[in-house]
Amino acid sequence: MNLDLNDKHIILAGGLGGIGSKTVDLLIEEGARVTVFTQSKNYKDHNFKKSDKLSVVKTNYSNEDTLEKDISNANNIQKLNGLIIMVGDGRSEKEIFLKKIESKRIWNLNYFIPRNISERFVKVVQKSTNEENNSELFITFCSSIAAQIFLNAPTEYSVAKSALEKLTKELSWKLAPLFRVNCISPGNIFFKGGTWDKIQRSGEIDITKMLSEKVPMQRFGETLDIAYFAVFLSSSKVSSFFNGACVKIDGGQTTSL
Amino acid sequence: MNKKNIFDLDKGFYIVTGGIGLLGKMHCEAIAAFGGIPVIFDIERNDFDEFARKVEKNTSIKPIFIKTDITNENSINESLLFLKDKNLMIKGLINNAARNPSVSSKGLAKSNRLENFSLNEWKKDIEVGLTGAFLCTKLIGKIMYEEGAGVIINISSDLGLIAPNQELYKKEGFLDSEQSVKPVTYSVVKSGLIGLTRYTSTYWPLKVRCNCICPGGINNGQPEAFLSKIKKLIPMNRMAEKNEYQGIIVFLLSSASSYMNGAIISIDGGRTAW
Ligand SMILES: NC(=O)c1ccc[n+]([C@@H]2O[C@H](COP(=O)([O-])OP(=O)(O)OC[C@H]3O[C@@H](n4cnc5c(N)ncnc54)[C@H](O)[C@@H]3O)[C@@H](O)[C@H]2O)c1
Repeated sequence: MNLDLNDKHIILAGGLGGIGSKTVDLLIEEGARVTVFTQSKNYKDHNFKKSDKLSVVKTNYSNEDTLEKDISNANNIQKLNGLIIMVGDGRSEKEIFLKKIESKRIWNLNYFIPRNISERFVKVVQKSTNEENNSELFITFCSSIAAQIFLNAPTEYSVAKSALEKLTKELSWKLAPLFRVNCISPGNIFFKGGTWDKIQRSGEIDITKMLSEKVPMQRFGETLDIAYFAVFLSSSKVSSFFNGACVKIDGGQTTSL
Repeated sequence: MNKKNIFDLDKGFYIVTGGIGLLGKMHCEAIAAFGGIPVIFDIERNDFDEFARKVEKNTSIKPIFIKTDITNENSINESLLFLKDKNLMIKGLINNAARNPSVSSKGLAKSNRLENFSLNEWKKDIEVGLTGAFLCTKLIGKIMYEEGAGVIINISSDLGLIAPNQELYKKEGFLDSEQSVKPVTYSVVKSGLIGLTRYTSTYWPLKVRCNCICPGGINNGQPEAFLSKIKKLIPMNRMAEKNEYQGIIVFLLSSASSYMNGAIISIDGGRTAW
């Protein structure tokens, strides 16, 4: 498919994670310029193939001035076309009501950081664009099926992800037609170092049983399954009328409970 | 991800019901562009020959037309027999056919209203939109399951998710009781296809995936009065162009979407983002 991504400039926040890094690889393959945002101290130890079109920037999501400066810098190198936010994490404590400080951490990671990055992105990009109506700009959030169904995930995680899906819908009205805003809701995605890898190694759940009981396709998804769709949504050529959509990729898990 | 890559379709037949209609042709073009052979099941042949020549010229793939009435099990079976003789497997099905009596046509205005809607019209609409999709899913889904793999896409509508806004169809100079409306069957058929998707996606989940798209209305020569009203209901402030669903059709038919199953995907410029 000609995705027309050649030389488009995209920020991928959370681009060193499992799904994020696969998405970066695919975008680069498609010829896009990608600026990866991360807070990781080890931001230099990534495995991306060398490319002139890739830069990895250590930013500070909690400091809005730094964030805005980093987005502006990226925009100055080349005008930005889109933002994909893969920041988020569902690992937490087992209590029903998390302690206040943990609850705040989870909300921050899964709602406020994505919200703040998109706020700053919109501010920077709006300033530097003369177009009002072209819908070439996009924001893609990453939620989870925990936003929609009971998965016994940490309470605050599921609720924060629901808020993120609602944010997608609010922004899809308020930022249109200049931006297309959509959201991907992955099901159980397995990758080395990811939540399911850890659960499997801990032996706390019988994974084969869980998959056969809960997931019609009886398997985990892979990072590529999500990355392909994230790349698809980045292409204003093939996804030009997608706006306000929350698309689940879950092997059918949320279809039959 | 250009050609000869992940979005390329497995070699084989991709059946598109109602494939000679406005959207059906777009699906067929997209299938051929990515290496699949589009097979049209339609009761009308219309300009198929000219269409097929164009597709073949652009893609080197010749679409197939098989006159089929999808409301008739025998008719579908006969068409499938014809395909069986060829040496290729069926890889996909798009349940796209619908009866689309135009809301704007004067003669229908009154009879489309709920209080006047005839049982006969109800039956005909349900027969094509739902019974036809059920029969194709049953007969073609079974073949794909037995052959080991396949994908089904059901074409619902934004009006499968929300009620029609009847204000859109109002015309000056008519009494309220004479205004045209979107018929009740449209909502019922399009919601029904969402149920069919959920059912099918969990029925043969290891071999046959099933997803549903809910497209928004297509810009197709509607009167200015209608366009200016509908634009206001869509965040992107426009209707779709007819080729804007080709990307998702190829994505859903290809192995790039191999973990997508049971998804109900709205593609409507944001109209149903509530
Ligand atoms: N056009 C739009 O704006 C729009 C928007 C949302 C959804 N849709 C849906 O997309 C699909 C295609 O719409 P379209 O605009 O191309 O409509 P269309 O009327 O152009 O095409 C429908 C096709 O179905 C065929 N058909 C009818 N009865 C049949 C039968 N018994 N057996 C086989 N084929 C039969 C018709 O001959 C026609 O070719 C429909 O399901 C429609 O509801 C359309």
